[in-house]
Amino acid sequence: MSEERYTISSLLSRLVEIEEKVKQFYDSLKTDNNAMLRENFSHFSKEHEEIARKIETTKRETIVEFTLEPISGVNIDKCLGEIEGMVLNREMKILDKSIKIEEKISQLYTDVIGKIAHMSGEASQLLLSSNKKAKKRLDVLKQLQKGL
Amino acid sequence: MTKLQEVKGDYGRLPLYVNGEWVESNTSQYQKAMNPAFDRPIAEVPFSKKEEVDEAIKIAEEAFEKWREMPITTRAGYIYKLKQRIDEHIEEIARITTQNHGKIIDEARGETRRLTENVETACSISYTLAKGEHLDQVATGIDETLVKEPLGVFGILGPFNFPSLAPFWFIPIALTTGCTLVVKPSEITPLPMQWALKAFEEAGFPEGVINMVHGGKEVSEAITTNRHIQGVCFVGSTPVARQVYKLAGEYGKRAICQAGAKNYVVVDEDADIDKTIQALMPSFFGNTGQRCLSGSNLVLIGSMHEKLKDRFVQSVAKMRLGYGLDESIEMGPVVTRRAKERIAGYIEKGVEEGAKLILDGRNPKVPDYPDGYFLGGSVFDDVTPDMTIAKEEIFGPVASIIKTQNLQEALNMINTKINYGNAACLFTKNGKNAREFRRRANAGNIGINIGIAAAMAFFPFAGRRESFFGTLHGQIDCVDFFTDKKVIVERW
Repeated sequence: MSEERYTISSLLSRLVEIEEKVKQFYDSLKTDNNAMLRENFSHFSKEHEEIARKIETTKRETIVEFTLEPISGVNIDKCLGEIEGMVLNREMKILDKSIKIEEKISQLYTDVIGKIAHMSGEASQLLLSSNKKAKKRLDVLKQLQKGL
Repeated sequence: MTKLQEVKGDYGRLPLYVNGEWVESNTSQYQKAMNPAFDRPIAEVPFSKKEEVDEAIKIAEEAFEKWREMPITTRAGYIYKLKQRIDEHIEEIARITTQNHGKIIDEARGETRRLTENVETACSISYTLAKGEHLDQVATGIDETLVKEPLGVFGILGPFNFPSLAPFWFIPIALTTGCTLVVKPSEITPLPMQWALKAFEEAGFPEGVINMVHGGKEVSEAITTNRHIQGVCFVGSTPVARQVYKLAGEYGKRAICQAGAKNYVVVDEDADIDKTIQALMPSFFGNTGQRCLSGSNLVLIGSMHEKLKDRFVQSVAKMRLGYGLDESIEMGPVVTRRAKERIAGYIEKGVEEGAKLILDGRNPKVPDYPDGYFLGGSVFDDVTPDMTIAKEEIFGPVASIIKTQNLQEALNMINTKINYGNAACLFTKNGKNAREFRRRANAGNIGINIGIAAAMAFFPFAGRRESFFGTLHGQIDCVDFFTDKKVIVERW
């Protein structure tokens, strides 16, 4: 398997792509019959949108010029493909999908943070806090799953 | 990966900025500014007439009298506003840098981020700077006070390779101290600085405090020799730096001349290979090798030669070339066709002198940009320190591998085989060797497990030997350059 290599901008752009993809996924669930799910999905959509916006800003404003090393060891294409696959999967239940997707994002952020901490402290802090939010969403989703 | 949008396709004839207004030059001499990825003209650069340069300096001098009298809080206020405005334009400046210079967008963003740091640093020193020193009762009934006074009008002569950052090593601090400026950006890459000047205009700086003219050598000379100019800040090659320094001395001006380089990067036998290779990539090939802190000679100690060489070459060969506005691109073109030919000439010379060309980047395949000034990364092995490619500044994406037995030999090469002293880097896990290296390497910027020893704005951008002419360096160090000390001894 050929190893993916990223510039920090291309890597962060892919994360924006993932966040936007997941936002769209939650947008598509806003019409769910269950009011509590609807409300949570709407909230999650806004969170993903906000994270995407922040990553884009951070990418533009915080890159430090002397640490622009190629980034390898994370496979974002694969992750994005898996998320897309889950979104399109008609067999999976909505909550199962959401949990899997958020777990995937959380794991990806954990992997990426270590790779970029020395390049952009701000980006790594942002991903840390985004990861915390992903974990909170997971908690909420798991609670909802228990309740249904 | 989609390509980012250019700010503009064509910037037309560049106006001068004089007395707070954009004005067209009266010159008939123009040069085209290019997009090097396409060999496409994107602007026309006027070569200002001497009268225009003199007029800009005269206006800056008139503005100086008012600017220096302004309360420090008001003057600092402009620098704070500048910071806000620069932040608003930062992405535009970055994209224009990629468009005009060729460097990839990450490097351009990195450059503009560093530019901002210099403005922030000026903000941070603006009040403390004005305070001076006072000693009560140095003799009976006598007090002594030291104040720092701004000197007047300074010229800033920018380089092509960091077209917006390098002028900003000086501009914010000069303005904070109360000096006024005439800036001449590189005639090859004038667009980033041209765009950055919008931020000054929008921050509402008083007329004449900062002015910009365009042109080449004649304009630099007209600035340096003008009797109203107090000094010049220059960044560029060693031959030109030497000339500017000489001229400044002849005319009794202050000068900071940051010059060329030939940087050694040494890899110790115990270095972490993965991390080292990652750091070597931007060191040797960042900015397409066109930076005065680039690695150029790669010294591999003992067994590291066999352990690292092939993996390094594989990494270099994998670099994606193209237009830097595509975020996935890892190396852009060099700045001009002439630069490409000059670099290729050095590669030819290396082969002639017996170095082994293990990766030849002279004819890269960049299908979408057939006319661009592209060179892939080139790597020589079996280079000896006396070869031309190991001694002269190539300023392009070429790495020369030199094998050596120990750190001592590497230090001897750095200290005796080149005349430059900009940077030297060591990759090691050995603290004793790291200490020995940073103490003994005769270079102004030292990297330990860092491939590009680029000082932040709140440290001087050092450099020594033929990499620097002057006594005070760029960035924070230039506070003393723009001011003079006045000592007042008082008895009442």
